[in-house]
Amino acid sequence: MNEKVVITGIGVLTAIGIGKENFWNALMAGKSGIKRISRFDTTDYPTKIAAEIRDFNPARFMGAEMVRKCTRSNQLGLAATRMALEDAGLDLSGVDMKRVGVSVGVGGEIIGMVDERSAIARGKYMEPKALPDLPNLLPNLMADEFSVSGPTLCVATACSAGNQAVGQARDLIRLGKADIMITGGTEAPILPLAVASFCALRIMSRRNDEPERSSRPFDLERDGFVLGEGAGIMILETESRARARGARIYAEVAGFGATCDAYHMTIPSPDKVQISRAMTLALNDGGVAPDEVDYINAHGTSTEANDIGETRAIKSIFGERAYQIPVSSIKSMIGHTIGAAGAIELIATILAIERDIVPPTINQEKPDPNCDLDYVPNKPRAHRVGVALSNSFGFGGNNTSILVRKLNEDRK
Amino acid sequence: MAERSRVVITGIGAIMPARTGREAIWDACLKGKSGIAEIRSFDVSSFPIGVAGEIADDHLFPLLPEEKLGKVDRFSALAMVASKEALDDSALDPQTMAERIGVYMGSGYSGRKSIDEQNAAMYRGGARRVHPRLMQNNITNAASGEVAIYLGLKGANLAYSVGYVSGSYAVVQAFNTLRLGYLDAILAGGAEAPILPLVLEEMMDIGEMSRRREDPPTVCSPFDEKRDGLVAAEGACVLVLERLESALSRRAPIYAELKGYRITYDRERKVRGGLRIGEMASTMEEALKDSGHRPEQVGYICASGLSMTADDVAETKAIKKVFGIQAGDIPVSSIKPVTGYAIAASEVLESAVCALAIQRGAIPPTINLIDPDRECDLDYVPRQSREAEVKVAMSNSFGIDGNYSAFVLEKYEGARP
Repeated sequence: MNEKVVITGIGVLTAIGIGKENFWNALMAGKSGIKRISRFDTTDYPTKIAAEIRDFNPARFMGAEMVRKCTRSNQLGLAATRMALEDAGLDLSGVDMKRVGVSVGVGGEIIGMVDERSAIARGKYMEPKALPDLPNLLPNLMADEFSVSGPTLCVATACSAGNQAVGQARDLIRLGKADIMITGGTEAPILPLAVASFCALRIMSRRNDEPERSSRPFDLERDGFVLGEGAGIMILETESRARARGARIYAEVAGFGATCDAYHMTIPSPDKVQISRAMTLALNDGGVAPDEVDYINAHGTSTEANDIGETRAIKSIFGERAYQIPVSSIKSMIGHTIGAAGAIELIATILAIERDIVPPTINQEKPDPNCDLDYVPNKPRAHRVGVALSNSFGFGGNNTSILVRKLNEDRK
Repeated sequence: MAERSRVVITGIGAIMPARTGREAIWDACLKGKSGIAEIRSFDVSSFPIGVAGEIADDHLFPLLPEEKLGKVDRFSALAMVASKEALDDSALDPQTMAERIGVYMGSGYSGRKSIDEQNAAMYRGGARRVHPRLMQNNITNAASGEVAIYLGLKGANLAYSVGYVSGSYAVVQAFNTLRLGYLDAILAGGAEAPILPLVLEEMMDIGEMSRRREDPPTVCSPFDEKRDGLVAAEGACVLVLERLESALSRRAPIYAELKGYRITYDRERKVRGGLRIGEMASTMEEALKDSGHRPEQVGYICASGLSMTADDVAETKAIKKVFGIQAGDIPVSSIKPVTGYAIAASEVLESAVCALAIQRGAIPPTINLIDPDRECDLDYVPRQSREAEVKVAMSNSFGIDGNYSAFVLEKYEGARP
């Protein structure tokens, strides 16, 4: 059964918008969600900015008891799931719940739980929030909330988790282990210990006085990445199932590639071989030639090591044609949402496929001579997108790439 | 459905309390030598729990590459040691096959040692006291990432955080990846380093833990009248799972074939604290169904057997529900008194024990079983190991957070190298 696996529902929460349309409109407007951190006192922190979601009311998406007991990260994940199920028009009441599973990506699920609980308990969390329960496992909470009882797993591979989780969800459907997978990622890392630990690594932007200009992937004046919080959840099912119920199909998850640098936990391998191989594996898995790719949603973290390396890797695969492919990073607007990044960026990618418009990379002011591709600077662009790649690379030397394809169209 | 690859175990590596290495651990399981002792890593004089299964630094540190000493979290260090042994055991060549070998690791508590230490340091001395390696060391994929770097493995690298089935998910997803043919082999395992005051307190909140301190090696006593709770442990176990064709083509010795699994979540247990025998039973039933075996084919069950008052009875009743009148004929044993409960590591180790039982025709005993609970009336292989030909074995893990898994393994009797 190598039937096509398709995406039929989207739920997304980011600092620039909650819900698919708000998110998309903000991407089109090139809006930055990065501001001064409001969640805790940053006096002692060299970086004082992040992309926080300021208008999230969890009670809109779940009952009071669930709101009370969840960490913020898990609240975001549940809210995104609620939206994705609604968007998919999925009525789970008639479905065998053993055939419905969950594969979600997270980055700092353990540190986040400890961090949030101790900040709240010590009165250091500057927002009303109940002390979350222990344990606080998203796959279990999803099962509690939505009664799913198929495979329910949480992929914890840091910055690539949201992307990996979707690849794993597709595999479970292809193996016949589930008919419907709820998949994506969530992360709420704007917490005292997590931010302190990224500060200690000296890889975050310190452009504290101009938060909206701080995340600037591929720009010469970038000075590090900016943390963001968010969640992106998608509904995956087989094409035949989606067609049978008359569902709207956003795109096919056509290929997936995952590799490991096996080089260093936090520094990407300078040779970029494994980043390129992840993209190549995704293309081969989908049976797509490099010249068919219309858009690349970049990992684009706004760090020198990533931006230059990713650019080189793209050129190594696409050659001269690399210059004709729009490559953009929405981290310029929503920050780096770690375990959610791969999922939210895939959502942006499939919306680009649905709408034939590519989102921009904002804050492109002074091009880095080593980053000379078409990064869709500052303004979105109408552009037919039939086939796209979405990249995620992460701590641990993880490199992943997902290939998505428009359906209902001839490929050539 | 397209033909899927079969998946076999071609390497095993482990480090557990008091014992390092597959053979030493197997020997300890057969001879019933417990690794449970008084907790040494922190002062327990006023702590409610006094015993656990710990690994002495003198055993662990010499096995680590020197440049990693003190640089990685303890759970990653354990994963590295077990992975090295597993890879060596499989005789796979990471030089020529680097891109065809993946690393999938699971952990329930991941880098809590680093997190708890650095969190305390931050609230004592401020944000600038936080160590630059905290982020890379605490994340759940620290273990899989460090293993990949250490052994030079460039296939997919995955990590799972699903409470008390995290190690099971690593094995299951590796199994699935191999069945789809994406890789030739995967180091799949679990690593756990939970002997920390805050983690043990959290465990006490969700599960019954033994408070006894006298004669530590006898404290964990599954199915016995005197049992009064689980005994936590640290450790790691890693399997080399390999596509059968790959193993055959390089004439690799095969421990056993991984045939099927089921992972479930008992919502009622978490919500109301009540055990559901039905959920445990259906986990086993569906694992058997997935494997294509009938209950009567099972020749050994490596039980979850946590030494908890209610859980041991529930597991017994669940086994009876699945195996009916034959339940009493199947040897069922728990190695927890020997190893303690090392969560993700135990989940994987107990599949390894099934594979070794199949390969070597021996069944490890349940030690410390002197006076069986009246409601625990199966054949628990009390105190003495037993020789027996095992063709199909099942491993259960019924986590105290309501996450359950069962695996079915079978003797590989096809073409031999």
